[in-house]
Amino acid sequence: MLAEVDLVRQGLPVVQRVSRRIARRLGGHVPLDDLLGIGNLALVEVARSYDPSRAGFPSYAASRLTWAILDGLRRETHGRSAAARVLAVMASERFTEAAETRPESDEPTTLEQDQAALRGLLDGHAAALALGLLATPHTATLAPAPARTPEEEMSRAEIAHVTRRAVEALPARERALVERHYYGGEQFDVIAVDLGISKSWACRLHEKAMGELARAMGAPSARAAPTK
Amino acid sequence: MHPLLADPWIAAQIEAAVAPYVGRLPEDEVAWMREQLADTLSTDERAAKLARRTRPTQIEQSGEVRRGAVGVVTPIGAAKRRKKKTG
Repeated sequence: MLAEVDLVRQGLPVVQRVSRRIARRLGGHVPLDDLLGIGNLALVEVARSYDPSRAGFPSYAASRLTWAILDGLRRETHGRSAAARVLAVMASERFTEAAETRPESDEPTTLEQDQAALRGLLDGHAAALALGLLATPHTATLAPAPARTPEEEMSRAEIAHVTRRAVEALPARERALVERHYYGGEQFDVIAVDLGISKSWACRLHEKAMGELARAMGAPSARAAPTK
Repeated sequence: MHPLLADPWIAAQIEAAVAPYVGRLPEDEVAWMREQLADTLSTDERAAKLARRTRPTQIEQSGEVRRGAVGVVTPIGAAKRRKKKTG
């Protein structure tokens, strides 16, 4: 079994890779050095908690470090625009995580099934991103958002209202997860424990909620595929 | 711009997904969402696989058959051999 120090050594390039990917996703809103700093600090705990019987260290570390960096950013980011993007990336990563909890089926699929799956996946990610952008609390601790025209502000307020109403219409557990995590700022894992469900089940409920939000936003995944 | 967005078929799939937010969210946020979706298609293995499976087959003027995800061009001879092999 590898010693902690060996795992940390193995994890350093993973910190680099994960940090660069998050920096790219945030579009330069957060300096890479800040991400590396959070990642390097988290790596020690990641190495300490590693269970070799469950996964290879690089993939385990990549997943844990992604969440450690995003959680750290969420706590420390004060610019409203950057905070909104962090929350949006978290929502999108969470949506991906649900698919990873399901074993991939070996059953053959039809083209129509694959097309529907791709549409559902893109619609769900888009809904998750929009929710993250719109749910960031406008508190006094956040720096102001970039200047918008009155029309842009009004349109944004309208879609934020539509999103909030769609969240309120979700089934009870999905609603609790989404409201408490995105609007209340509570940790996803803590909410899952509180609801008496496993983290993987919570991820699936989150995935389902994003599908329902996408439909409420007018993106029925059953629509015809673009034919371009 | 994310390189995948230069692909018209990928761009169309992504445009369909962001359509409900166009004109409702500021344009810079919608543009950022497009980039994120392109990133997902290039880094998420399952998403990339679905894109490869659903992408229409195109015959290039050069005589090459384009299959699967962006930038994956299979020479026509190899495609024929593969077809023969699989029956």
